Amino acid sequence: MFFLPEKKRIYQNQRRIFGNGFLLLDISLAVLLIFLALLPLQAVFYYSQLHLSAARLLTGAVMLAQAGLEESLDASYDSLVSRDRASVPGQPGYSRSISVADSPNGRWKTIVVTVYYPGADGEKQVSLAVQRANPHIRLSSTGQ
Amino acid sequence: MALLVLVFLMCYQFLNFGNIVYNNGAGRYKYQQDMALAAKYITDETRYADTMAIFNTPEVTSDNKYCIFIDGSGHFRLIGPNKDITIPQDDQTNEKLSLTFWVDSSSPNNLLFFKIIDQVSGYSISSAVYLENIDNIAAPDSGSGIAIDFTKTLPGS
Repeated sequence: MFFLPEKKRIYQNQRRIFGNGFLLLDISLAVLLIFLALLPLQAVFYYSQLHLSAARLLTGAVMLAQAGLEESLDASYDSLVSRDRASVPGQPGYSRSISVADSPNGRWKTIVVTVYYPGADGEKQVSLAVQRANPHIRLSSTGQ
Repeated sequence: MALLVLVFLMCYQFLNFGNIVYNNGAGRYKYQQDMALAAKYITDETRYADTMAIFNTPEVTSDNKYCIFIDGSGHFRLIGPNKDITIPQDDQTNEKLSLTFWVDSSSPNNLLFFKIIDQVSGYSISSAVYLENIDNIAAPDSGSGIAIDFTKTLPGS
């Protein structure tokens, strides 16, 4: 093949660069660069999983708080008292506390059920509240 | 060429991983939503029941009774007068639910406890319903069962 001297030199340089394949170092560097580029994308999956498990645990916790409220509706008004935090039977990881507060005029009690559950970034809690009227107090009739 | 194949292979693996994670997430979201919806139906429909019994086999013995159970496909069913609800509503799902109802037999009360489990994922939710109009729920000796039937009088009927 006929080349001008300058073109011949370029052709030889190109052969030296591309004609001899890649070194292991080249490939390693390329792979490393690709991994470095993809690494931030892993965070997407991490946070996605985190929120999915958070939703999963929160749904369970709300249901248990709801169950706690229903139990307090079933109890007699006078027996409604606060209960310290205790684990929920059959629900590992979940615990529940009940706070009962009388209204200043004694007409109702405010019941707050709080469920604690383990989250990915520490313990979390969810609370539901309800008020129960005092059945011993009758409202006076209007016009009397 | 070998490097190109390697790069494409890695990209494919990465995309495939993303696809699997997305599908798992979508599946989880769906069964959580379905189970929460089933729990809401149980709570809303049984709240003002007049009579209730827990069974170990689903049965609807009269036209005015409602029945809640899991059918042969693993779907939640609520059947009653002018009512037939299935959860999940689509057949293209691998959800297989199971349902347990029980009462606290140590003391007569108005609380119906229930637990819904997705047998595929093992995820479960438990809750209870305070029944306004019933003093006692008829239950098997074990105190638990997989289905309930109940009657209720709707306001104005």
